[in-house]
Amino acid sequence: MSKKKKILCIVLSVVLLAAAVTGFAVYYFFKKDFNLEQKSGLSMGSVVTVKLFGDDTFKKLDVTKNGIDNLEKIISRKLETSAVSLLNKNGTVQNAVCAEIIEKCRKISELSGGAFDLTIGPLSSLWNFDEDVQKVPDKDEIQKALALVDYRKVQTDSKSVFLAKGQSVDLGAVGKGAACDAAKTYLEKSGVKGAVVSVGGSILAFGKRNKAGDKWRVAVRHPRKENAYIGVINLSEGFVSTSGDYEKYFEKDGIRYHHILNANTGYPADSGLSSVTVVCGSGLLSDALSTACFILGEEKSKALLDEYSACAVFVDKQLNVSTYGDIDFEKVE
Amino acid sequence: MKNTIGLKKSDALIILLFAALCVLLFLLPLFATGGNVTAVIWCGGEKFREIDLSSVEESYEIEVNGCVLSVEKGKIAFVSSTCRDKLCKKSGHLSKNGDTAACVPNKVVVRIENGKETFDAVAS
Repeated sequence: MSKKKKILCIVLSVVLLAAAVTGFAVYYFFKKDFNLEQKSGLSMGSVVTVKLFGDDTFKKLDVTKNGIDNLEKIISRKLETSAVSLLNKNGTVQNAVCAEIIEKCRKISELSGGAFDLTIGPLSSLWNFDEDVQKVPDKDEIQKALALVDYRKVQTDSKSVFLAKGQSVDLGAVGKGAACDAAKTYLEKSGVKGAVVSVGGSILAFGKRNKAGDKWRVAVRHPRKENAYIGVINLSEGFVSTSGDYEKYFEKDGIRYHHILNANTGYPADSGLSSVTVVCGSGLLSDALSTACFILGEEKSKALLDEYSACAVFVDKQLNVSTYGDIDFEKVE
Repeated sequence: MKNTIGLKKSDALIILLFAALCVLLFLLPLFATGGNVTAVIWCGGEKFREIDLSSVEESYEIEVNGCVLSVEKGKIAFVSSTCRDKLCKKSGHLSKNGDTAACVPNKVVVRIENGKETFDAVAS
């Protein structure tokens, strides 16, 4: 090989090697995922999964989960010593966190015209979808329970809540989203670069997914197929909640009786929808709005969604999918 | 034999091999994500076991705190439980990344991890 050709070969080799190393470096610094640590456990009667992205995240997994457990001790109806249980038992309780959550629920109850109502406790106890043997309650029993359901009779101040006689609150519709809020409060102080927290089906997408800042991808469960998805929401940050008629239900005489009760009728909501997924800036709100929108139906939901700058994916009973608001949604065919 | 720029066949081959190596180095990170499908079983808040479902050759069952799990190639499912409501059995087979099922009364959670990333969480 002549000297010229040798030089040509060396130059070519150096150029190729430099291109490869540059490509690798660009990918590593701008695209490579952060380190990931994850943990699954149980809280709020559901599976809780915490995925943290960044450095030195392992120690923060337990603390994030503990934040959710601590909220459960305040709002669970199933724990006798929780603030909500004490409120339901005594008609009053002093707890600032509980008071704040109840005040937010009261406002959504009002804006939804009472379709969503935080004082639905007597009705949900009557239907009791957690029991083994489920039955449709008598009309008289439903009317009796309905007489106690009225969010307008709830009074709150900064740290206290007062109920009318016989009333009880059920925060089951917002508990998982509120737990996501609690997780976010911790994560903001923790130095974690990014996180995905799932409490049951309520999701918090926090911070950056990777160094490139790709959007988070949250799948929306298919309302009629196990372990299948009807689409994927891409979002930069935020909370995602879904309410559907598939989670807790029983069938009698060909009718599906599901756990999302319309506080105006006393019966499972029948607005033509099989699921609603809401994206907004608060977990409690996304939970409450998905329930309220499921009860109200697509058209009546729009004003409520606008009120909270939220957007939604509606799936009707024929599995037609539509979206409302500024949402990046990919339908799975 | 020489080509128009005067390189020998062997020289051209060396350059080609080197170029291929560089391209491989460039593309390597793009294929570095994903991996085997792993079922992670949690019991009472502690990690109980990780099972590489991709390498399962023959199906078997394992018992975890009153729950029986069926382990098959690429998938896992609750088949029975001592709990009252048996909701865990309704979860069916878990096979995709992020698929999760739990027996709340027995405090057993099964989650698929490490599979090919398609999304970060499931809203349900």
